[in-house]
Amino acid sequence: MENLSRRGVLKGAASVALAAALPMPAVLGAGTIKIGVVQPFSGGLELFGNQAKLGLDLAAAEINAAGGIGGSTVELIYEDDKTDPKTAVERATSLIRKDGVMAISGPITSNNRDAMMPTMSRSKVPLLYATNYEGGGCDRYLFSFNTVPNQELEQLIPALKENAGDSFYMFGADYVWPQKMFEAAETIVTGLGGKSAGKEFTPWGVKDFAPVVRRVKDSGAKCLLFALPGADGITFIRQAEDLGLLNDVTVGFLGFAETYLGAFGEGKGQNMWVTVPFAASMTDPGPAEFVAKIRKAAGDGVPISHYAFTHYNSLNAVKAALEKTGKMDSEGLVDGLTELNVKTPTGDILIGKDHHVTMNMFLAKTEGAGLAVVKPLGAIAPAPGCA
Amino acid sequence: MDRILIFLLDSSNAILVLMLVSLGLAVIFGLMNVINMAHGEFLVLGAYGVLTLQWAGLPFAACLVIAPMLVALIGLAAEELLIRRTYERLLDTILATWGLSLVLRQGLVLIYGPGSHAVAAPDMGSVPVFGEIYPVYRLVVMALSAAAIAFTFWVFFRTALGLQARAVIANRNMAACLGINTRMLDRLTFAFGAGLAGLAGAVMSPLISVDPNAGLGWLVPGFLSILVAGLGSLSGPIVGAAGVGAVDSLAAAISSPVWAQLTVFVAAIIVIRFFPQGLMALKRREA
Amino acid sequence: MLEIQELHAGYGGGEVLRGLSLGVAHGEIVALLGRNGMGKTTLLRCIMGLLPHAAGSIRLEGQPLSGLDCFEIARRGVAYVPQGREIFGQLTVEENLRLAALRGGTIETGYDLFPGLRARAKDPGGSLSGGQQQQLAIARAMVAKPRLLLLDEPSEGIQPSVVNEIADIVTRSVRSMGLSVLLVEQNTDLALRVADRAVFVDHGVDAASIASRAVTREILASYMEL
Ligand SMILES: Nc1ncnc2c1ncn2[C@@H]1O[C@H](COP(=O)(O)OP(=O)(O)OP(=O)(O)O)[C@@H](O)[C@H]1O
Ligand SMILES: [Mg+2]
Repeated sequence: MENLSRRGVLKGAASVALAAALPMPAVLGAGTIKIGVVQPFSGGLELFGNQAKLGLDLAAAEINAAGGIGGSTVELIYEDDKTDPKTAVERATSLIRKDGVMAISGPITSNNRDAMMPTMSRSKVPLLYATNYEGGGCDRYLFSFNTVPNQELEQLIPALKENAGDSFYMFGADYVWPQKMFEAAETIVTGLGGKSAGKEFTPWGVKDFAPVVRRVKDSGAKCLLFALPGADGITFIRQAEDLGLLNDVTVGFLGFAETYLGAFGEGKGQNMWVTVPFAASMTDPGPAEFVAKIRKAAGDGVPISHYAFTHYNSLNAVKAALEKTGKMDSEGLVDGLTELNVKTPTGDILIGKDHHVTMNMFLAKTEGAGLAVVKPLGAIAPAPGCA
Repeated sequence: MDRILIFLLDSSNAILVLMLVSLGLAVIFGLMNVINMAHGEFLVLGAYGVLTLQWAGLPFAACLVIAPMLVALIGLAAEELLIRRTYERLLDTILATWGLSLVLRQGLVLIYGPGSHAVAAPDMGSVPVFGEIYPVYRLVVMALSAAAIAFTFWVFFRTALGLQARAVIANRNMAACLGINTRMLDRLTFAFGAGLAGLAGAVMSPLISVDPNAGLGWLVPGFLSILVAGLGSLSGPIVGAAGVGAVDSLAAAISSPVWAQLTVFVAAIIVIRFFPQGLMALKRREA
Repeated sequence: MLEIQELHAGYGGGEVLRGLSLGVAHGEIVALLGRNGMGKTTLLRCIMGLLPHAAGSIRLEGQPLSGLDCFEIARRGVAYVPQGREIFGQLTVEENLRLAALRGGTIETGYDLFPGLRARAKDPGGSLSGGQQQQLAIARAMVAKPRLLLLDEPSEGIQPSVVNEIADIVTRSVRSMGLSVLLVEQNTDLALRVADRAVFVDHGVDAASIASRAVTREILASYMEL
């Protein structure tokens, strides 16, 4: 008995030593496709990291249950970027060098993405980015699976104009995404013959928005295009509601996700308009099944947003791409992803030559404790601004 | 005219809460020379306290009273277990309280999740003030903050406990030589300062997103307030918070929050550059 | 009353007290004399618990004081008037006294001792003259109703005429209350006039203990002059 177990230990130790001595590809074996995941699981944006994980885990489970990709199983290797660019780069480097991943999924913030991209390009490993962002990320090794500004705004602004009025106030956080959002919005508003009633930005961490609320009120705007993500956005909406602003303006909430629901308080934060590629409340069979599967895996309480959806899509796209080219490496993946059609719960998406996706979009608004779809908008092509 | 009055009302709200925050910081620094980096987390704990007590079914008013006391107790425990081991080493106090802030924040993530929570706002309605419909709860926030500030001054300047605390601030050893239990005062003061932060978080909880990182937005202006006015006295943080808050509100009202933040920093840097001991030191020299 | 045996203490590496022994009887006034830097203040700080001692013992009425916090020693009836007075400059005269009166005692004791302080009750302690500050420091010590009074160079930096006046008042009061006193003083004439006994400290040890009346010029010169 004692002997046996000791031999077992020795064998284990020997194989570890052997594995360490062998070069990477041999260790990898034919049996696994490693995908690194660099997402925030601490440091402030863990909500989003958790959403990404819901989608990725489900996709990986489904792919492996169906026999993997070309016989290989998908293995996700999670790393926490702590919402910090330096950490994101470190984790990406280690995933590429030590784990030999074929691609990396992530991150959330543009800061982290911009920080990681040089490493990705240099290592020729694609980054599968599934967060809505400002556009302009044009690189052979970058694929975007969520929206860019025009996809959110093109139909939202006309809907707001029709339902609330034609003067728009724009308020957002002081960084690139809201700035690009508002640039795109201004073009659309002017094109529709609407008025821009004002535009302003705020730094993070502001706790008293009374001056902004007063100014929006005084501007006489009918619509507020709102691009202040995260907790600060919730604080603003709570104070805007408290000071009576939400009676005067209709909010177009940019970058909305179901993770916000419940944070405004019961019966609060109503009638805020959004366009999203997915809503958990959709009743069509595709999305309903997607929601049910995630609920089954992660429990009934979890919010499910389009982040779970786009990350789910991104891994399914990997499978489709590898099966298309039959080349099981990073270059094969990049070639396969370009101009690829991928099935998703809300219909097909098309990855364009510029590595951004045409997706079905939906006009929705906050209602009760959820997001109610107003109407499907059909497929909207991205204008990511790549030459 | 009404616009100006409404502006003053809006700013008073922000300023009074900031005063509470910096007062707590200054009380702790004054007595113990501890730079409390966990002050923002104590504030957040106050907000979570209200949230939790509300879940437990307590009426909002009761939550407002109990939550700060719970934070004071947590402050007491932190002082006993951690902070007191770092006294007299300023850098260590920063590291220790910073570590504490991480632990508290992570603890909140583990217990309550990383997302935002909503404290149900007490339904107090609105009243017409200066031609605007003004939410009553905001007036309550101001009244409570002002009352807490007045209470703090009363404790420090009108009670035996406050007298002892001021003696310890001035000369710890000599205070001990008069039979004052300085350890006990350290505990009480730290708990009191934490309680003030807890109160600020509790009263603000219905007006903000309650999430683990909510404290940072107050910590920075709180520190600026005490730096600008100087650490020598209890009125320092009050004057500092008034200055920081007023500049911030004014700039935000005239231009935008981005400019407001910039203006506050520039103004603070100028003040600190020309009055390194703080504005209050200037007044003392003249007096 | 107070018994100190073989006390060793110092700062950092350097030992200042090297086996000092000393006693003060009930109602006795002992003058502690010695050149600058011989360890007199250090001894008083040890008694108060402000400085830990490495070896030896300090007993008050037979009870060991070792290991007690300063505030506990104060509460056992030891009052300290430190070198440099250390009144609370930002607090008013009355607040200075009230602090000492918090655990029994009344501030009237202080005003009775030095009636001049009453007129300055609401002024910050820091605004008083040197002599008045010394009065306040002594009054503060007396308000606490001590059993043992430690005085560290009370005459330092005060006009001689004022010094004598203060000394007379304090001596009278101390004698009438039967207080024990340990007095450190550079002004040997003054010290020998009020004290029953003089203990000479030299390089951290008690070199001699002599009744005040028996202290001669020669003895003084040998212990006090450089
Ligand atoms: N805080 C301190 N740290 C280090 N050394 C000290 C400290 N205080 C005093 N000393 C040293 O200890 C020795 C004794 O000092 P102490 O103050 O006890 O002397 P003293 O007899 O009271 O002298 P004086 O008559 O000048 O008051 C001196 O050499 C002094 O330099
Ligand atoms: Mg001395």
